[in-house]
Amino acid sequence: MYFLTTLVCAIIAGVLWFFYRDRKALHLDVLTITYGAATLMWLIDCIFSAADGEPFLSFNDPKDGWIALASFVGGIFFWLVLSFILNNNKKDEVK
Amino acid sequence: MACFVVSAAVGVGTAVARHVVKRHENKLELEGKVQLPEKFGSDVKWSKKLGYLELVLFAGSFLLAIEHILHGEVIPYPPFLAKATPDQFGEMLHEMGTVGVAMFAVLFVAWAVGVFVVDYFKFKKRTAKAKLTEASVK
Repeated sequence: MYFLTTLVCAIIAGVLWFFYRDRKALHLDVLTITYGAATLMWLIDCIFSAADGEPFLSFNDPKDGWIALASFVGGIFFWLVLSFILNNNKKDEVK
Repeated sequence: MACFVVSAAVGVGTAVARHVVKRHENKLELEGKVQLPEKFGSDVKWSKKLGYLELVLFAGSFLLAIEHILHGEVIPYPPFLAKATPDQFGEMLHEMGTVGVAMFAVLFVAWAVGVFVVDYFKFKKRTAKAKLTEASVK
């Protein structure tokens, strides 16, 4: 379930990045890469699960919804923290 | 179990490599040895390319770490990984060697493709601009 969540988030972030590509301070590339990387990692996890005979996508675990929500919030948190750091990093300009 | 640890560990290595490359680039810049981009792939600095690899590895590992924490596979006390017990250690290493390495390989390939595409478009744009300038001079 979290694989699908991050996939949808990566697509939405990618579309936003395309439309707001001139607004560099938003760092939407970071958000897209964050969700995209997690999607690829969970895709591999799903493939290995399927190879072991388990279902490719599972919706049975009651924890799945919370994990999907935590993944979404975690991605946003990671993006906000990194954007704040990148926007306030004046070291290169000084050099 | 601990599949994300592989990518996180490579991320640390990438961060060190990026720092070294950045220092080298800064040194060349201070010495005035920086040349204008000529070859394919020289439009974007390697420190920036490695920065993107670092981001890919750490971002993916961060979100997977959240999932592992919520599944109780990562614990807040030593040995920090629930399966890092003598009887389950082999199983954990096997998962790191299969799923973890496959995850890293896919992320690396995705990064390499992204870098190649960006380099290709930048190179194409630069050569087109150079041809246009040459034609206008003539």
